[in-house]
Amino acid sequence: MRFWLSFLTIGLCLFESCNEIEDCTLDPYGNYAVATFNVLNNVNQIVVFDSIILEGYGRLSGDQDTLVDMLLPLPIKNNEAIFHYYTDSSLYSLAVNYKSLPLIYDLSCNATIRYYDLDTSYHSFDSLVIVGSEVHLDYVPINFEIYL
Amino acid sequence: MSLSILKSIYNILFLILLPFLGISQIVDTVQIKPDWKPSRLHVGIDVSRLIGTAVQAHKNSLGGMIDLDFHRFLFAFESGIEKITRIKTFEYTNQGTFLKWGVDYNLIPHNKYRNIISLGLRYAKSRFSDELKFREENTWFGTQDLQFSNKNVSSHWTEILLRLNVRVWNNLLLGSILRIEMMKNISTPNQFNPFDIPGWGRNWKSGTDEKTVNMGFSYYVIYNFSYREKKILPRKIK
Repeated sequence: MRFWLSFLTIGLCLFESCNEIEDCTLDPYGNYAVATFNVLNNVNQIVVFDSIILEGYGRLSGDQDTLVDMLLPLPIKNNEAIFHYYTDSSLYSLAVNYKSLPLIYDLSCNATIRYYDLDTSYHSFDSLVIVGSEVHLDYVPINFEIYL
Repeated sequence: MSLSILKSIYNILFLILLPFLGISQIVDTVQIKPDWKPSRLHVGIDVSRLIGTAVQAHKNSLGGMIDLDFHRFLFAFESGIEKITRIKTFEYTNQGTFLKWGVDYNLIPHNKYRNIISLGLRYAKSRFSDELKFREENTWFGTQDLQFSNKNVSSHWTEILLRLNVRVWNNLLLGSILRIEMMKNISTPNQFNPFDIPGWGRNWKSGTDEKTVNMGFSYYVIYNFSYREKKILPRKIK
């Protein structure tokens, strides 16, 4: 009987030791991509947009600020987000494709969504570089570098 | 009746002391022709799953096993069904079945009470469907109620196990299995990453990593159907 009790106790101890407590604020999955704006040949120049429209959803909040970088919200219900950037003289467009996979980050946290395989199917900027194809707040601070 | 209890106590003591027993007798080596004809069928029910169902509100599970002896080997099948419902800030349900089959090698075939200590290998397969519902507070799109489901996801893996079977009463045995599960493969889920896999356990570790190795325990109550007498192998001693 002692053998069985020891065996059970060791099992329970092992089981309990595997139960880690997770800090939900460390969830690295955000629901937006990050784009930085760079002006060719003049790094100090700032970028000002009149408005930024996400097709199917309308104007994004904070779109009239002076922008160095911009958060691009990614709708879960689609695999593509099309952004239109209006300035006083021109219109730029950016179509972002992505895949999404919901997951349970931890039992004590809310479910989250992982966005990955970020790509662009169209853009009208001077150039665009994809520097991170996954949304991961810890390892991928910037997804797109946009040059105007 | 008291004799049977004494026998049971002896069996358990024997298993405890087995590693400490020095084998020091000196007799002639006896060449015995292996008897490959099966003699016993073990049918068991997984008590750990029944206890889990009674104790853990989110879990409903039932499991069983069958094995048949061939000389020192046991061909074993384990199977079960599992339904998990986790209601937290999200609602996750998982329902499926699993089947495991493989071979055990009996390390003590000479035990006169037919106790077993064996090392085994299993190939396991699981098929399940699951669903995830949760509410997302989004800065841009407001509050969204989201629902995702995976249909007919399959997974397979390999297990190495150590098994102890102790005869406690006539044809009744208690069995415990310590298993290390590894080399897991899961088919591409339709809509989201499954959190549990029936027969394996948690697929997704705390944090951001998938569980590639898992450890498990099972406790069985087993009935021994003996349909022919088989000679107990003599101890092979130098």
